[in-house]
Order: sequence, then C-alpha cells, then structure tokens
Amino acid sequence: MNDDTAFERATRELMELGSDRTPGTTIDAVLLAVRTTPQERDLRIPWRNAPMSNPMRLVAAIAIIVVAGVAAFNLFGSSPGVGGASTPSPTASPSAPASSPSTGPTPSPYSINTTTWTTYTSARYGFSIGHPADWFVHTTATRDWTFPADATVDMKSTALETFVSPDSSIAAAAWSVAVQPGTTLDTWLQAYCPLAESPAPSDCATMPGRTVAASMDGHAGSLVRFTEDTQAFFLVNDRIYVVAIWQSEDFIPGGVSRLLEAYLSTMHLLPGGPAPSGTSPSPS
Amino acid sequence: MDRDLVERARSGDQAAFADLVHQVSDTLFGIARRILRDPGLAEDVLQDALVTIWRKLPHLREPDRFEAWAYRILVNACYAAAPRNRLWASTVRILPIDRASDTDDFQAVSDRDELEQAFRRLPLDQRAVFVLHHHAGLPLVAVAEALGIPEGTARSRLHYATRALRTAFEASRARDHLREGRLA
Repeated sequence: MNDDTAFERATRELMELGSDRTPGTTIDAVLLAVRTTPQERDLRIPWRNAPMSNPMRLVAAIAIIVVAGVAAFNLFGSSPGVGGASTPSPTASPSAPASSPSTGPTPSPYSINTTTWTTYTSARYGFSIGHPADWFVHTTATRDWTFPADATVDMKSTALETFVSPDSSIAAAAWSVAVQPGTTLDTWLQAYCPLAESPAPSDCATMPGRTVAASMDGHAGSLVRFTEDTQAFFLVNDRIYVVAIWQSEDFIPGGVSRLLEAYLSTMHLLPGGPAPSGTSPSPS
Repeated sequence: MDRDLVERARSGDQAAFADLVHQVSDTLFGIARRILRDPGLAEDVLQDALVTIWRKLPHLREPDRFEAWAYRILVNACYAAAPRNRLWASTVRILPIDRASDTDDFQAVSDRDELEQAFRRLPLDQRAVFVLHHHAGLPLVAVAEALGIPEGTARSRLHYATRALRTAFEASRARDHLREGRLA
C-alpha cells in the first residue's frame, strides 16, 4: 500500500471511529430545558416579498441620495478646517477630544478600546501590560522562561504571564528572556521558530512572509503569524520581550493581530528592568 | 430536512422541535465528538447547542438553511467549550502501545494513533473545517457558508489541517520503517 492510500485510509478511519448515537439522556435534558426556555422574539422587519417596480426603485434611490446628502451636510457642512469630524469608532475612547480635526487614518471598524483595560505588572519580566477587564489572569509566572525548554509554547507554562478571555477561547501571554549580547532579533527568531511551529517546523521557511513590523513602548519589533497563534517580539537591551495570542489569525473579526497590537499598545517596560535573576541561555 | 417541521418549531411548536432534535441530533453529536475528541464534552456541547437552536429559531429566515445554521451554532458551542479542553488538557498524550507484531493491522493502528494525536494538536477552527468536509461531507463552499467564513479561509484551514496530519503520518511511518530496519 503506498503512503497516499494509507494516509487516506487512516484519515477516513479517524473520522469513522466511535458511535454517533446521541445518548437518550442528552435528548431528554434538551427537551426538558425547551419546556421552560422561551424562544427569542424576532423583531426584525420582514423581508419584502413583492418585487419593486422600476419607477419605485428610481424613487427609492433618489430618496436615499437626498437623505444621505442632508445627513452629510449636517455632519460636515459647518466643520472648519481640513478633514472635518473624524469618523467615530464604535469603541472610541470617551476621553478623546470629539471636536479636534483628524488627519490620521480612519479608525478601523475593529478598533479595540484599551482605555478600560486593567494593567498588569510583571516585575519578573520587567514590563506592565494591559488586558481586557473581563479577562482573567490565568497564570502568574513563578519561574523564568528558558530556551529551548519553554519555546514549544504551552500556555499552561508557569514561566508565562497568561490572560484568558471569559469564555476561555483566547489566551494571551507575555514573557521576556535575556539573550547574549550581540544577538539580533532575526537570529533569535530563526532559532525559536522551529520550536514554536511544532509540529510543522518546515513552515519556518515562510516565516518572513508572515512577519510584519510592530512597535511596543517606542521600540520596533516583529509580529509573526504562526500557524496556531500570533506573537510579537522585541529586542531591547539584550532582552527579548514576547507577547503571544493563542488563536489562529482569523478567529475574531479584524484578526487576532489587531488584538495583539492592542495588547502591545498598553505595554511599557519598567524603568528598572526585570527583577534580578539568572539569565537564560541564548539560542544564538 | 423537513421544512414544515422547521417552520413549526420556529413558531414555538415544542413537539415539532422534539421531532427535529431526533432527526439532527446524531449528526450534530457526530460532528461535535469529532471536533472535540471527547464524547462527554460533546454531549454537553450538543445539549447547549440544541437549546440555543431552540431559542434562536425565530431568527432563522430561511428554513431550508436550517442545517448549515445549526452547524454554525454547534461549532461555536464547540469553540466556547473546547478551549477549556484545548488549553487545559492539551498535553494529554496517547501512550505508545507495545509493538507486538509487524502486521498491516498493527501499522494501521499505529497510523491512526499518530493521526489522533496530531488531530488533537490542531486548532479548533481547522478541526471544524476538516470534520465538516471529511465527515459531514460538505463541499468547501458549504463549509464556509456554515461557519460564516470566506471560502478561501475554509480552504486554507483544510490545507493546514491536512498538512499537519500528513506530516505526523509520514513521521510515524518513517519511525516505523527505521524500527523495522533495526529489528531486521
């Protein structure tokens, strides 16, 4: 049997194993719950069933244009200077000056408001970082992160500062590690990637194409989309700082990268650096 | 799927919903069990998903799309429940079994165990696409529609999942061949 056939057979068996019979107790529990669970009311406007005639379409189109024009005039007509009023983000900060003209980029519909986030300080790793107020601190690091032992990312590791979303569907973690003087971020990433991309280290060949620039507390770094997570890396004073989000990129609208960038925007290095401890060996 | 049954359940008919549950529960349970790899957790998820389906049925505009809509609710329930599984129990490993003989049957068991471990390491969104495509038999465009994602995303998730499984499978085969060589 060649490997292709064997692989197909093995995957088919993987999908066929076990019984699909729903236990009767599960169905009973559902039907019992249904008896006391009201359905949600559908308050939406019903779909049109009758087709609209062409003259009616024309009238509707003119009406929409007129309404949009009046709305635009009211919004922008009396605004002085360039740019007019900035487009409000659904999550815009309440402290932002509403009337100041904006020449910057229009906020994304997926903008994340970090003003309500809770600040967490890691003396061990020498930074503070925000996390959404309703996320919980899952792990407070009780030991230093080391390479390569901790590079095969395990969110349950006690070497990480880890935050988890209320439904446990997303986890964020941050840590830092001292490296040998002269180590560059690229060389460190080349050594780190095969372990982070386990079980498919060959994916590291395409890592440059999945890397974009990132910044944290005024420091430039790299944001890398791995297969199962997205991580940001910064080299500052012979120490690598890492923030990771465990979920694949398209798990949330706007991308996990945007959530990671929000985390980075709240991150600051402590003036005194991390608490004194032994340095971890560098991968370089 | 019986459109009339869906419409009656949508308008609050509990008996119709009970019939609907009997029609779809095995399919939904099979999907949840394969995504989660844990029958107990799959039962809990199915229960939550079916109650959610009942609550939200009035929002379903097109009864003909009931199955795809139900798949999405189920997979979301898996996402909500499984991370606890994934995050808290991801280090669960199947113990290697003693190698008693070098038969094809043994090879098949070995392959399957390796794939099982590899499948458990996949992100949930990749597992969902893989199960809906390979187990439920949905074409990729239907998988994308059921999950509310672009078809390209469904395709790439399936690609990554298949590649990870194949890598694990080939590694297993290589190890077995090496072992056979040493034994010979």
